[in-house]
Amino acid sequence: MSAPLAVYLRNADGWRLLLEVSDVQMTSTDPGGFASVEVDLARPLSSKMIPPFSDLLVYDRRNGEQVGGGRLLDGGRSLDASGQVWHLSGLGEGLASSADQKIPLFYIDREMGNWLLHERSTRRINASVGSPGGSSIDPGLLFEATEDRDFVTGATALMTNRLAEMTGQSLGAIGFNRREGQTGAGSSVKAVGYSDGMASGEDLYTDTWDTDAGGTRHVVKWDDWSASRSIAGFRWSRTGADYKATEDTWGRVADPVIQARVYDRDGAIRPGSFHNSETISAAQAFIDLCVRSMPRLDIATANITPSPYAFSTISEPDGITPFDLMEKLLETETAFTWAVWGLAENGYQWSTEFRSYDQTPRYYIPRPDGFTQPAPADEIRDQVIIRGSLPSGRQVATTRTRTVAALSAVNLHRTDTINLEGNWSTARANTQGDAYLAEHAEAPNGGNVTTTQPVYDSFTRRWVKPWEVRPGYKVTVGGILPDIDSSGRDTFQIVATSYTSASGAVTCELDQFSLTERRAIARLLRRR
Amino acid sequence: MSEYSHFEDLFQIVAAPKADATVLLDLNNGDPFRVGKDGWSSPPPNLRRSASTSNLYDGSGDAISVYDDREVSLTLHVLSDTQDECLEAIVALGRQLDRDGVWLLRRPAGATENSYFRLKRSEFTDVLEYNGQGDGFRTVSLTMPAEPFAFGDLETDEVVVQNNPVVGANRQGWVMPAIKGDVSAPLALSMSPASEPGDAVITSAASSPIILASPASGGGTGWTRTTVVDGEEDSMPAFAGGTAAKFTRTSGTAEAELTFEIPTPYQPGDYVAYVRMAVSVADNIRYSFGPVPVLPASTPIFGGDSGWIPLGTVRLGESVDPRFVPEDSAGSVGPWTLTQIVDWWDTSVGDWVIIDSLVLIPVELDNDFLRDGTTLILRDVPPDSGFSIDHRGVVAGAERFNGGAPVVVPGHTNRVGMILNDELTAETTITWSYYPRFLFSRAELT
Repeated sequence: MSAPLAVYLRNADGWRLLLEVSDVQMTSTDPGGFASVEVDLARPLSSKMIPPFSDLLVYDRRNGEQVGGGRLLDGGRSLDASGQVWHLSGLGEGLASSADQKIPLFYIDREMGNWLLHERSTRRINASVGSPGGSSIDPGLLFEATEDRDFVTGATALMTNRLAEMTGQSLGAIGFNRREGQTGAGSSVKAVGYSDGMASGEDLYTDTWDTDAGGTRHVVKWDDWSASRSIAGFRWSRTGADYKATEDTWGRVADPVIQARVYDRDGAIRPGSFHNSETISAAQAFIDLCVRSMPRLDIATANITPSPYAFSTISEPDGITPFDLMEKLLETETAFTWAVWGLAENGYQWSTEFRSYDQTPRYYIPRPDGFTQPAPADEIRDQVIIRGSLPSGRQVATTRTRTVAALSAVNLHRTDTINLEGNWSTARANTQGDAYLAEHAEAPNGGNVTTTQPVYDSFTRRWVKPWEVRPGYKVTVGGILPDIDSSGRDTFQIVATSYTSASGAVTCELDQFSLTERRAIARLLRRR
Repeated sequence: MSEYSHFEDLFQIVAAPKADATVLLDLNNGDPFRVGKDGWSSPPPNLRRSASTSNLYDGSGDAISVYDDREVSLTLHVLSDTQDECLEAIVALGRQLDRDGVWLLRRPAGATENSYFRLKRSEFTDVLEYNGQGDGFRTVSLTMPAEPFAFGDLETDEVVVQNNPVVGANRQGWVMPAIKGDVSAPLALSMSPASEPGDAVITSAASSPIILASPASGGGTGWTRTTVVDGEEDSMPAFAGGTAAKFTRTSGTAEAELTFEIPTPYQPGDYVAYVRMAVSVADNIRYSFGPVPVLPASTPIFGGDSGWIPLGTVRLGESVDPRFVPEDSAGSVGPWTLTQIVDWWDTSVGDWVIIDSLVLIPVELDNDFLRDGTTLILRDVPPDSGFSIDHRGVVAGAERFNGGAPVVVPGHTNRVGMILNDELTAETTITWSYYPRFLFSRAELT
């Protein structure tokens, strides 16, 4: 039978069924969802140009479900011996939306270097990053008054962190521990917040100096403030009478952490209580990214599975796309993925999901038409060194190991070194190291499998056609027993699919590294 | 006079594929054209196959097969009395051949029905000159590529369809009279729904849908189930079967499973499911449908609506191999899981959902895999407007549509379904039409 696919073009002029389609090629990737669609039209070159950023949508005529689609990025025409051909190339909405905005962004920032002295009333006091001395005091934001000089009434110093002002975000919370070298009602320490440009400010926390205050963690939250603030600060002041400073006239704020406001899936800001834990999960970051930078993705009705890992730092002041940020987060949260598929019910957004990988195989391909499997053993490692840097700038590293039978058998050890992004957290380094070793314990079950015949989908308990196979799920292939891979099961993981109507075949890429957005575009351009 | 025994064959170039269309050029009336003996050939079109073979199994797998153009050839004698008459006739012929989309009518002597061939731009393969003939007698050979199928006269009729799935002569669709032709034909429809329909779903399938008037059984934690009758609920005043099941949330994490009893026997295969339901508050309820409620992902209903909600494609009956024909199955299908996700939505005790009826439209049945159903979903059809679907599947009158236009297949039952997001009592008059399509030529009854 003919391939029952219908290709539609949608733009400001409305919906149109494309009748002159001579071939359709569709790809999907994990993560990302529908990745690309290419359509050849036998259409006179004299007809109107198709506006860019139109949507191409491919539907299965049998049940009306969308099986492919993308945002039109290239609507080129050509003329040669084969005739007048329009070649339309679209990039899947998930990949396209997640590359639309490259912006500086942070959720939680612990970088001590972002705190700078903003003002001091006299040079006899100072505030900077440092340690007050003594073996048990870690470095932090340190206020000092010059020893043997008067700490005068009205003396004040302010350190500020203006990261949120630079990125254009509003602060959600400021967290800190504080302790001073002397106890006294005449000196104060405050957490303060200012609006852009220091236009207006308010005190968010005030206390008098206390040597025993160190054990309490304070988190001041946005819904207790009178206005939205983008500049965080700490101010030490002398309110009482002058007195001569000693070596104990210091105040220190430890672990200062600023958090940005985070959107929830209904578009509202998460309440202040969300910020108490000073962590954020990958699922929560994904929801915020959709609301903030990817308005075309339907997050309100999306299928979101909460992810467990609590990230204590996410800060990208150099600018990052949502795609790249998710790639970083999923390096730690390896059991999760995200995808954007077809148009949602509302017709102006795309249906989105963030879910964990299923360990049960979903697809069974009984009659593969082609299969290749390279088996690179140089992917196998049994030791990894994770290195990073502390907030103070000191470089640290930790090592994780795993027993790998194939290497032990030949008395070989293979080590790799990877970097931990952002501030150091030993727990996060260990998690990332273990995840890396788990992936590299066996040669990947890489390769391709091709089929033109129906494939059994065990989740919906149906036989699906080749173009309905989705990446991000495991597959077993009839007649081929894969090696037991690192997940301990004799299955392959589909990382990408590619369907061509000319041959009616779907090619599933197995277990290789996921396709990045750059590779998807490069592939698209190479095909022209 | 005639030395040709087939002078009663009809070969005409006509303006349209209709019996009473204007004849633009007659090719076999002797004035001056006469089709030569054995001068016509119209072999059925070839199949263009994409098949794959592999060393991993026997035989080949046909992935796709579609028909190529057919080639029609004709040898014409120009029985003119003068040279000018002959040349004029050839010019007239040339004018027709130079166009794309010319209709050629053919009816062999003794046959009762016309066949129409839609020609593409054609060529003269040969013009045989008989030098020295003063009467301009020439023989012209033509090769005419044409669309793969020959067409018969238009079949058309009108039908009134009710929107109630359980009451009415044509409830949510109608069965087409026996389809003429050898191969499937696209069906054109035009209709004017009575009032604001919103969305409409048009399906064509090889058998009738399975309709269930209300969920048979079910329960769960946090829900109370009651039966409501017509008139009790303002949001949905009429129920297809007279009663409906209402689930009211009573507490905390609410999860309910409803099982639908499918009447026996049913045909195993893929079905597209539509449910008529209403919810009390927008965005509150999530559901999933199927034997294992994991996929498709559960979808919330946009509330306040009472209407037909798509649940996606589900499968009834398990089968190991799509080529294996199991006996018709019996029993229940489900569970259909209705859940309320507390952590994501603002939910409150007292929210409810009413489930009226479930319609399962076959799209691919196990014993019929030469025939797939089609589903066309029209969105946001404007109120009180007509819309039409033409023979190419182009829809006029809907803001947005997706899926495939209806197709009728000879040799099968053809049921065309229509579900409107409208009152249960709504009635729509639909005019359907199709051109029967033939691999060779039209016969009388088929």
